[in-house]
Amino acid sequence: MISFALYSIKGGVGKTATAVNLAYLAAAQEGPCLLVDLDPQGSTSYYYRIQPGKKINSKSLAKGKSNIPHFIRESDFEDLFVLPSHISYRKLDIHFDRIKRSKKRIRELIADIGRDYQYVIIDAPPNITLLSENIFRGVDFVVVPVVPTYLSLRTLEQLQNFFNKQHISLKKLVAFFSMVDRRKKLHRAVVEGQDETENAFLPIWIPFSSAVEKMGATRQPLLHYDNQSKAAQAYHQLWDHLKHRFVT
Amino acid sequence: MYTIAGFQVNDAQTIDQHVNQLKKYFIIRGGEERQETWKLSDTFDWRLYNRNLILKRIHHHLALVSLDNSKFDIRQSIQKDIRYVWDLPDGKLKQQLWSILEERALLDIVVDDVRVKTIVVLNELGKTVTRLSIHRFQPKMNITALPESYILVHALQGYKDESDQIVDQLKTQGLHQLTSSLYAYRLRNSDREPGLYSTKVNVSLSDDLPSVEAMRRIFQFLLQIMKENKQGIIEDIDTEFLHDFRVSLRRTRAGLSQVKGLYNDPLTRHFKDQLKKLQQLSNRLRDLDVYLLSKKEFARMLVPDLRPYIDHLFGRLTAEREAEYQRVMHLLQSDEYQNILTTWEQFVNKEYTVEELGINAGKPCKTLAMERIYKSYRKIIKMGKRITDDTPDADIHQLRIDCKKLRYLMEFFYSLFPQKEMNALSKHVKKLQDYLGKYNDYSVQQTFLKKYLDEHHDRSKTSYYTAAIIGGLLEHLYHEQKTLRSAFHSIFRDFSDKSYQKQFNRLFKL
Repeated sequence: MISFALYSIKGGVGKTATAVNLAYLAAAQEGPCLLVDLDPQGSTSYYYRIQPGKKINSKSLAKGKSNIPHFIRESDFEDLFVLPSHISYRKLDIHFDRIKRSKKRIRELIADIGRDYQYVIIDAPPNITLLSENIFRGVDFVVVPVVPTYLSLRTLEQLQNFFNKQHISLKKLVAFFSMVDRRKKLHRAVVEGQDETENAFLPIWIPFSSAVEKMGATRQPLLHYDNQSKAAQAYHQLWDHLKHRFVT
Repeated sequence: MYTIAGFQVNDAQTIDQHVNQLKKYFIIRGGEERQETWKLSDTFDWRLYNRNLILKRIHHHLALVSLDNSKFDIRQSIQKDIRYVWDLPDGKLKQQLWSILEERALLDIVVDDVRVKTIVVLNELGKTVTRLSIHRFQPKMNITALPESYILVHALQGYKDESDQIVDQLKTQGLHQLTSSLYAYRLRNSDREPGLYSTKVNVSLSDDLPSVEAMRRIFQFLLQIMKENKQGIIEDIDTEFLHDFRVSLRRTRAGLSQVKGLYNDPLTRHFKDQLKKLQQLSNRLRDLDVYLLSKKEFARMLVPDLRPYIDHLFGRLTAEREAEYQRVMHLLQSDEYQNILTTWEQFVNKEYTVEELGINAGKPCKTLAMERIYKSYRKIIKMGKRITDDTPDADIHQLRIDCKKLRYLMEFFYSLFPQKEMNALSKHVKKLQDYLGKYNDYSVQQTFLKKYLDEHHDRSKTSYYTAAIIGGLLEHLYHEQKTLRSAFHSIFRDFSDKSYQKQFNRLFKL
């Protein structure tokens, strides 16, 4: 089992769209895959048309209780399972703060529920809190979408500094450019400036695309209804690069 | 996704009506129909079926599935046809199957052409909450027959309640619910009765039945096993067809020699000789099969440096086995050998004249069974007690053969004695038999290897390594056997324990 989180300090960078489409590919190509929606906005769950069960709450999740499989929902697609988000996850930090050994908790949780899956993919909440830190420690890789602006690059740097300070291996960190608009001079400059030099970046970028934005209306992964668009092809390439990174 | 219920639709024409009926209460979307070929496989001796499993193959997808509606399901994609476990790519399925199938080949039990249509049930968000699959199996032989049709209900994790509602609705619509999985239903279309094969003698006798009639039933049973396995031997499907054939033949011969006086002496002698000849025909072939199957075990006996060279020895054995197989097949299908079994079959099924019968023919079978089992048991006790550290191996082998004979006698007449006690005593004898069997294996293997060394000595590099391998194996086998021998007295002490002797006396002493 390989686990990775989609993470960004900033919102609106295409994080959830990436999680939704990568999970779709992982399940189709590699077998059972669990997509964990820890973002309290619940967009991932929304895209897969999944509502949480009634009794799910952040306290039981933080405690790592074994009833979590009970909350897992099978998606419309073979081998793809979703642990849906819940508005109460906004309180997860508080619960993690209270429990002992909280730093290891997410890792134990992933190992426990991940046993039946080839991949566990976490759509992580966009902030740096104790919960995010636990996710960084718990997963094998942290995949960061970066919009090609200098401000976004700065937030990536901040994240790298945070990893260093917390003694979390930088090798876990994988970045790629997201929502790239080739018409913008700035985007081109940033993407081209990073390609060769920064090894955290995968040599692939996801274009800004109205096809991706349509996901909100269709409530399906882009790859399901439009496998040919440029963005869809880019997700395919991103997934191939990530798989390569995971095994090497 | 897992199947929670299946329904049989007697008239395929009504499927649309049933789906339309569902549409009144649920949001239904139709899917596309596809053509599939289903192959359900198992071994000749139903190793999967007897564990409530079956191996399903659809195109390149293999799945070990349960015959009840449980979630058990191990999948594996394959590139080529799979006949033996060792053809499978490494993984969970191979691991699971190895412990069950061992060296047995997979046979296609049922091959079905089926049209499968999937339809989905949505909730108010447009999310799929249940899948239904409609299966129309194409009739095979009889073209006028209607296709058999089924509707299966598959639940998605987290949406069991929704699926239960569909099941309830289909029940309300008067469909007949399956009591086991669809696979179990398809297996009924097999030429052979699923699960119905065992080499274990299963003949029910009554105490007063004349011995000759009791043994007739047992011989008939054993003959049936031999006949069932013959085709598998000829097609060389796997090694166990010959093995099962030989075991039944040996049991038959033990019946003739141990249950004395059924027929007159010349007749008994005639069939004993004939069946012995048939058995001996395949002795070497079976030996070679056993060696080839134990390649891994032999490799483990060697020092790691020599292990890679074991292929030299096994390459030669494989070639020899092929030649031996051709020789045996040629003879087995010759009139001379065919006649052995056909005359035996005619004899077993005929009405006997008074002259043909022996002195025990009319004796009640329970009396004769008690006599023979008791005598056989006492002989082992007596022989075992005489064995010291200096006793030659030949005597130990004799003890093993007598032990086997006792086991066979107990199997033949199992139905005449209390089941519980027979099971316990059988297990007790088997312990000694297993020990002696292992001891014997070591002897036979050493003899075989020494003989092999004598017969194959050219100056090639291959021979050089083969000799080193054989040297290594002989050394290991010698020491293993020596260790085993030192355990004899403690094993035999357990076997001849007073409490067991009392039990044998109570059951079999007249």
